Amino acid sequence: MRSTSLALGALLLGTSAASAGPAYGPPPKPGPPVRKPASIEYSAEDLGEFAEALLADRAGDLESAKQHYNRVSDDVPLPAVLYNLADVMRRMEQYKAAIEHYRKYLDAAPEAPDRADVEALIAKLQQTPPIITVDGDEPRALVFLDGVLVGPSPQTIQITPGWHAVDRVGPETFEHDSFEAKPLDMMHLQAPYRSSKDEDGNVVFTTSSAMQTSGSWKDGDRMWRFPHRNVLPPGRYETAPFDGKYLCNSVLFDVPPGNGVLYVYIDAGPTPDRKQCLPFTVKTKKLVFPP
Amino acid sequence: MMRALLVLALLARVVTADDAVRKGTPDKFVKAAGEAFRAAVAADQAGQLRDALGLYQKAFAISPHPSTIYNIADVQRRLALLPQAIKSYQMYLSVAQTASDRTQVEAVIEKLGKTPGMLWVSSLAPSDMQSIDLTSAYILVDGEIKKQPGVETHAGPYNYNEGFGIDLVAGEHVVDVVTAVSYGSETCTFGAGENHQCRVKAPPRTDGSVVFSSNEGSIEVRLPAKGKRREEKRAVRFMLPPGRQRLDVRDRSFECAPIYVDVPKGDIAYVFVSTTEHDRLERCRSLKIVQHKLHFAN
Repeated sequence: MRSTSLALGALLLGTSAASAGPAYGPPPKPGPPVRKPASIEYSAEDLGEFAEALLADRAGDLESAKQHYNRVSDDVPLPAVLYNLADVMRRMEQYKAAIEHYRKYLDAAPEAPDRADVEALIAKLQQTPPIITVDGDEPRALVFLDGVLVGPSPQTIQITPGWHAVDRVGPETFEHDSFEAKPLDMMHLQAPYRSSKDEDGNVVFTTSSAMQTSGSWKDGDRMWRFPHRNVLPPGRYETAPFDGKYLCNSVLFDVPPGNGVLYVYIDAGPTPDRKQCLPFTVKTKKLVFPP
Repeated sequence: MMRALLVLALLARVVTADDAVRKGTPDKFVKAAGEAFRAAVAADQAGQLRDALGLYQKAFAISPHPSTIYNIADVQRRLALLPQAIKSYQMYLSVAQTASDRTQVEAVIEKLGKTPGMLWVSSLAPSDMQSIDLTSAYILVDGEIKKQPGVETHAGPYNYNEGFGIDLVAGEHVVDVVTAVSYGSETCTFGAGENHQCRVKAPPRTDGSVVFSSNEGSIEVRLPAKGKRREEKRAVRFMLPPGRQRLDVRDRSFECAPIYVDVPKGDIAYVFVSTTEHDRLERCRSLKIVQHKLHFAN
């Protein structure tokens, strides 16, 4: 699969894959700990907190480690403490906070011999790709990114910066969202529980982030809603969404006979653009929900 | 190994030498620390470890020195104050980054940290309605079966209630007690080499074919819906029909991958879910899942 074959390093350091279409992969794993020692100039109390922080860190309790470091010398920021706090936050995947503390470390230690290394680390962390978690309240749902099936809900993935569309489709539910993701973003896209049954049609009609609109239109005798689940008997369908206001052509697709849900995705590119009609392709996929 | 001579020499040098201000410490503090240290060494050599510990700590509080904290750790180790000794050895390593004995001290910390303690699992007095008959119970610790029904309990050491002793490494442990008619769960914590009584209580009756437990309060199983009402719990026993069933698990506000469990007919499916990840992650954390079939003779 294209998405999972992307090298982590490439995703951390570059965004060239963004224009190639939907690309995603497992979230990056933080590197191993890099800690600085305390100084004998600390007070006995501060040394105790520092040691407790290290013990908690080694035991994997990073939250406690952070709390102990924060108790070391509340008055004067100590470079080693700031650095170790940044290191803990980096391994907690709190990259924005980690960057902030690495900067505080550099401020507190202007002559630090590892300044260049820390500045390089900050620059690298700033390129951390957006990470999204897509989940919801209703079980047995499937998650799509830009029309591509990612897998059963929940999914946590790193994505390329830019505009994306996410769909979460369950046996009786459907949620759609489009958003712009930037480096360092951590987003939780959560589909709420819905008791209404108006999202249980057999055809999921959805689109890329380019067409940032929703609503309904009438085509012949049929009322279409978008993005939405529609009840459509088997057969061939052709409609011009919103009377051709956004898309350059009519949408044409087939609903095969039999039970099940058909996912119809209008792929009009990633970037919203209302100035001209959007060229597009239609992708369809018959859905099989997890047990 | 005590470092009396070395530290005395160092302290003496610090007091008298021109570089006594190396640590920015005034002479009067170094002198007072040296006096306390010498008294500590004398007490240590006389076998008065409690006195020695207090004096070493006094010296360290006045003017910290790597060898002083090393000696504190050494005395704490000999007094079997293992959690304190581990912390003190770590303090030594924190300030003696290039110490030649670093590897040995790290090994000591690891060894002390793995020194088992004794978790004594007991319940309330039999007259208490929430007491559990431990003899007929399964006792599970962190999802691992430690005692089967029928295995006898014993009179407790110290002033502990009758119960069952289990050797465990230090830390936080989830103790689940399951009987044919009830279920109780407690989280108990103790340090390296310590003894700790963990008293588990339970309602007199809890029906159900599935027991779900986890090591985090925020990891919960969604109970079978009663109408539109949704309910999730961390430690719970509930009813599911026999056969392969799906458990929907939540971690804080996050959906987790479902757990599939084979619910036995007449017995109990036990599911324990644990994580070692912190609770700030923007996703369901990585979960380790352990399952057992618990059988009770009729």
